[in-house]
Amino acid sequence: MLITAESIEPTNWLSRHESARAAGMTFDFLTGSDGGECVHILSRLINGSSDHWLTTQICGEPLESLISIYPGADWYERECAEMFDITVSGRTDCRPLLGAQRGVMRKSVLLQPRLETPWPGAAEAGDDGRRGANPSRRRLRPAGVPEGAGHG
Amino acid sequence: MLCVRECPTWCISLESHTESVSEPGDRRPKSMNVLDAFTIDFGLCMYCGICVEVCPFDALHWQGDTITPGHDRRELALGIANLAPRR
Repeated sequence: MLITAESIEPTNWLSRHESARAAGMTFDFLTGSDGGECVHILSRLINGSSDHWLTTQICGEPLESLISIYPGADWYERECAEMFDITVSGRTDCRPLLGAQRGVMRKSVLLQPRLETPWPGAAEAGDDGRRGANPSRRRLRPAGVPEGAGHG
Repeated sequence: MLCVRECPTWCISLESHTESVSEPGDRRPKSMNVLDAFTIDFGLCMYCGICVEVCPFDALHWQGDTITPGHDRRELALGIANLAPRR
């Protein structure tokens, strides 16, 4: 199976899928990936041995919904909208799936439980919770947490 | 403490305090750290093994036991009594 990929402009998202459907491609799934300022959106279309990926970049503008031509894209669009905090135009059902924090798949969004949970590694050995023992010692931060994220 | 700091899911926590110890012949008392509690929350543990690798004293090791399931996720946080039952 040969995998092909095509990068298109967001304004051509719906129309390119329309021509793909007319050519007999069926919809497999749609997903996203964090691109910092923008969100990469990917959809996979298959037909026999053809495996074609369409990708685009959303930088604040809404993503055109595919549900008018591929109803199977419904759930995936809801998932991407919630996980990457994007808007999808051309659909009336905007119910969230989990209903918690939006945009959690983006690296810029810090998970609320992480921010609220004190890091167990902040205490020093022998520390009863006081920092009086050696207040000048450099404060360690947990691995992978960006600067200024608010952890001790 | 290295295991606590390096754990990516923050599933290990420990409590300790400092005690003063005087051996005969010491000019002044030394302080030593005493472990009060050591807990691994297996509801968060990813089984990545970083804690085992990073310990300079080889205090942690892999074992073939399974974690006993519980009715409440708090039952998955195992302390010293469960982790080192032979002590």
